[in-house]
Amino acid sequence: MLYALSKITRKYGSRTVLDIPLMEIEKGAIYALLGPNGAGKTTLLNILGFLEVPTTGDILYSSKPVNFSESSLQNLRKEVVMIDQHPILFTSTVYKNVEFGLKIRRVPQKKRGIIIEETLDLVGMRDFEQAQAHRLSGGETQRVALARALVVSPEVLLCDEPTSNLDVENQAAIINTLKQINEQRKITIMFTTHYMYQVSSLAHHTFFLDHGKLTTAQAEPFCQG
Amino acid sequence: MQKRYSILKVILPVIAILLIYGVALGEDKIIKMATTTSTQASGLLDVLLPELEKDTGIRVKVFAKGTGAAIRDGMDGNVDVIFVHAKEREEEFIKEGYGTKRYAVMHNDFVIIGPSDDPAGIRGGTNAASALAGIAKAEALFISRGDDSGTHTKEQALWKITGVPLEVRKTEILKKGKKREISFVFPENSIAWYISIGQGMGKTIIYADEKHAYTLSDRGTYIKYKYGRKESIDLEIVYEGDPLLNNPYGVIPINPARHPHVKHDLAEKFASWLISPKAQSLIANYRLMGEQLFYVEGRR
Amino acid sequence: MELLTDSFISAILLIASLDPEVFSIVWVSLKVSGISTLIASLMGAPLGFLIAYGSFKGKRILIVCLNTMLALPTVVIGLFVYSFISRRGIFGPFDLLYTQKAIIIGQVILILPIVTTLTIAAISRIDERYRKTAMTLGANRWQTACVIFREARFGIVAAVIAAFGRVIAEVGISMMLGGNARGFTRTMTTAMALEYDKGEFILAVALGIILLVLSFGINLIFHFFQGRTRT
Repeated sequence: MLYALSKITRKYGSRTVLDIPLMEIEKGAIYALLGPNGAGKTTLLNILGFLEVPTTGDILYSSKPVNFSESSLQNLRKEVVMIDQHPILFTSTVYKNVEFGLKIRRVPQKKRGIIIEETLDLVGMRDFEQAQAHRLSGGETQRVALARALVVSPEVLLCDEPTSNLDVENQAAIINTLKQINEQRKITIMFTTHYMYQVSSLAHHTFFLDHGKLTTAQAEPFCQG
Repeated sequence: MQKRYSILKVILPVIAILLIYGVALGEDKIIKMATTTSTQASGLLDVLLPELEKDTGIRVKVFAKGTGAAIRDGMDGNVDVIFVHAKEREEEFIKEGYGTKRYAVMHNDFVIIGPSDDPAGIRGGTNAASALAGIAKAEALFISRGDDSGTHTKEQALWKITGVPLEVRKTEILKKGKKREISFVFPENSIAWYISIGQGMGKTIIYADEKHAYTLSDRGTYIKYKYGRKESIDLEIVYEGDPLLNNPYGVIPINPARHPHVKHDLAEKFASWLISPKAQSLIANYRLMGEQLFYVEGRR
Repeated sequence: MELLTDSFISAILLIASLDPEVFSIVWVSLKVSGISTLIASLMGAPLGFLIAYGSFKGKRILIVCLNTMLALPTVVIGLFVYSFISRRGIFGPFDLLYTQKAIIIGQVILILPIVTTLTIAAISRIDERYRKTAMTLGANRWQTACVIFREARFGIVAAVIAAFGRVIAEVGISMMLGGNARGFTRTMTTAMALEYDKGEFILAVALGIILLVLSFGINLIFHFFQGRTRT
């Protein structure tokens, strides 16, 4: 097991947005996280991404209990990357954006260049290397954000609505990339979505979240239309 | 609506009364006078002006500035009369037609003040020029007003007769389309000890006190700062008494031919009153901290 | 109108004559204002960042206080500093009064609130997602702060420019604490005040024109610098 969550709750004030007695995530699999708006999907991703601390409960990550101190969370974040629903790129070039995670990990300059070009190739953005990030379209931004996350070779990739607001062509490109990296690099992926066909074509497992509770965890999508 | 009208009925007469009163005030006997900060700081005007109003009904609005700015106010017709102490410039002022006549009202004198230990050793000197020369020779700190004021004008005139080598600074400007030079003199190679600060007399005295330096001051301002403040200054008079240190004050009404709007009649009346026996005795008897500040000139 | 045209031509004459006095005045102004701005920026920008990102008791009231300090008159600052550094003040022995250092002390107090509040405003405008993105990519606190700082850089540079504009144009502190000593602490604004006192309006306005031209040049440099990094 990569993740094992037990008795996790998350409260904002007196409002409980998440209440998960038990949840397990297997290494190397792709998970779809479904549920209506406000079900707590983003909160769950934030907790899995170590960006938010649960109000109560424990998490085992790689079979080790997670200590919720800032410094240990910071170390865990080096293995888990989350991509926002509407990713924001730094006001700089595409290259510099993708370089960020590598710089932080003190990867040597030369090696950085090779990794960045490889990854930009993977998402089909090699030609935009020197483009200004804030001038890109929505689809291009999503791809660069994906590349920016992938260069650091994470164990886990958390994608919040990776294809919302994208045209069909870009949706397909993103889905294919996710599939590819899961197969080739064994990266564990969890994504939230509204599109059922993505669940069936991409996910190995599906979670349903409603009012902060997991209703059932099964391979079959709860509805086809 | 009715209520609003009734409010208007009350307010309108009030406004009308205020307006009439205001116009009446405007026609009242008020004149504007530009003078120097040291004149105002001496406190003499606080004694003279109430008496003036009693005798003539004239009230004076006083604007205290540097001598240059006060004269400038006169040239521009911003005031009705000027009351300054820079005789040469006053005469020039009249020659150029800005003023009608200079009334010699009174004089006081300048003193050279400095630290009590007198590092340049100029106490008991023979005249003002040799005192300044002594400061230059010792290269003791000297603070110059440097503001083109009456005091600064006097200081430059004194330096010119010391025999100390002088430097002239000129700045060229354009005035009314014609090139004109503004210049002032100061001792040569004096950067280490001669500080020109371009400020009023009071600030200059404080500056000199802070820096343990010499400076030239009019007696009135010095006395005020020495004895009239909670925090006294350490500076003492190190030289006084040279006739060259005389500081005559003049009053000049502005020429109505140049500025028709000035209240020339009232200004004349004011000036004549100042040289009346009553005003002259007020001036001669004025004491600041027990010291006589001003001496009257005798008639005209 | 005559005053303006005369002043304008006089300004050109002053510059053309390479008048050493004018250069000294301009140099003192730029040096003192530059150092004040530098010190205030080095203090105010991080301070603004900490306030914008920190969550502590009294944060709002602190911001209100800082905003109030924007209205602090130069005369009050001048008097306050004066009372400390005059010969009879606590720091009298350091002989600071009527030096460029004294002006710098006063000016830093004047513009520190400007830099700080404008930095707070600039940082607060930065999208929360930048912080989240930096963190998820593995950045530590310091690196995350650098990302936010970098995104807010235009706003912070604007804060610095505003602060510089304030000090280069202020006269109260320079006059009270610098003392307008020719060749030492005479700045463009105190020189203007002096020329006004002397009744030499043309020279005063001519110096004003030089000041405006200078700050135009400085703003232009900043503008190009910003434009270049933006594209």
